[in-house]
Amino acid sequence: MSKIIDSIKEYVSLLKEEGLCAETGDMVAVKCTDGYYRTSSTASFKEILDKDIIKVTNENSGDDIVANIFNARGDINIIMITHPQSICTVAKSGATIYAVLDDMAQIVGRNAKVVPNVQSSIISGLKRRNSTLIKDEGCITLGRTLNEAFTNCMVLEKAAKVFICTSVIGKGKKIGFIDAKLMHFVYKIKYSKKNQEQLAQEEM
Amino acid sequence: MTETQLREILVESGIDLLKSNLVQGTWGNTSVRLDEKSMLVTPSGLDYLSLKPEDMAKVDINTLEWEGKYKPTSEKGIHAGVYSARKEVGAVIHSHPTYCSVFASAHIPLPVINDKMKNLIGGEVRVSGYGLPGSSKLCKNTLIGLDGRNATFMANHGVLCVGKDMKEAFEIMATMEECCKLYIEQMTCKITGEKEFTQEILDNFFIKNFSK
Repeated sequence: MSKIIDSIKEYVSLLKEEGLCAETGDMVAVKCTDGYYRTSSTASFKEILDKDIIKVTNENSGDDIVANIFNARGDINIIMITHPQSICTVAKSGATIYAVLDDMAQIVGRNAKVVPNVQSSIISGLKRRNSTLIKDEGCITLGRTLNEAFTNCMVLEKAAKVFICTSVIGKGKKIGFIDAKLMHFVYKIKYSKKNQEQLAQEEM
Repeated sequence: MTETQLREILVESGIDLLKSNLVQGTWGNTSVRLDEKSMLVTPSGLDYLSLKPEDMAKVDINTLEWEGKYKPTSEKGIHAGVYSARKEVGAVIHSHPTYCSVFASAHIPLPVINDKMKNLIGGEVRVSGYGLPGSSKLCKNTLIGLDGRNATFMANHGVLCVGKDMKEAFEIMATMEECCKLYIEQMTCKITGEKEFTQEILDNFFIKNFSK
């Protein structure tokens, strides 16, 4: 348990260092055998303490969105809800972020859509994707490991910033469907072993 | 300069790029010319902060055969191509900093915006043709885009900067990011009619014009 708590604290610090979180409203959750650990809704990412990380068991999770995402996506172990600045701006606009850079195509995928802040829409938006923007809020990024969810968030924020900046000089040129699919596939395979190694380290 | 010193320079360059926010995580790659036939390049997928001088791969510029503890970057072909084509180049940096990525993604060249840029880079920065990461097409197109310049945007990918040594290549990379940012700020003010740039002005312009 202490290893999970330390890992969560480490990634909360990284999110803070990279400017990817707001003062409140962010959350990191790590799945475990009988439920999940998460940062509490009152936790401040400015200074995260052991007491800010709580365990939610399958029995008491109720209609919790985190539990429902874990249930819908058996292949992922991590959920991050964050509010990076550029993602929040794009989320406010409702516009879809397309892969105009290969790091987004590789890590996030061909596009990232904005979904309404409704549980069913969010879960539907995350069905075949590891990230989605939430209207007038921030984003949810998923991963098999903390590093994967964190990297998704970092790359998505960069893509959002590039999208915003491009608006004053022209228009981003989308990467072709096949190339984007290929890049995402190769990335998943290439880093699969690395992620599995990290996952083994993060497991209790 | 000795091989040991050049290996140390590569370690330092990675740390400097991270500190200056010109590279993120394990992305990007750097190299230095060792001699006429070989170069030292950063390995693939390793954290810059944990890199040691002995981790750098020694790569044959002509054959791309390599020796070392770790596999060299998959973009080694571009680095080798630059050293073959440009005898005066002693160091290469490839990265994906945010503001340079704006131009790379929009396929829009960066006009000369100040004397520093003109002196260091040699003129307008072109956007090289698109190619998949690690492909020979990307390598070929990048070399065309770099012709007569010390920097080029790589379409949908990032930016490549070269210099006579790592110090100069780094200065060019920093100048590129600075000039791209400045140009975007100038364009924001021009379009919105505001006198001074703030991120809020750009965000509001975006929301106003791109909301669904």
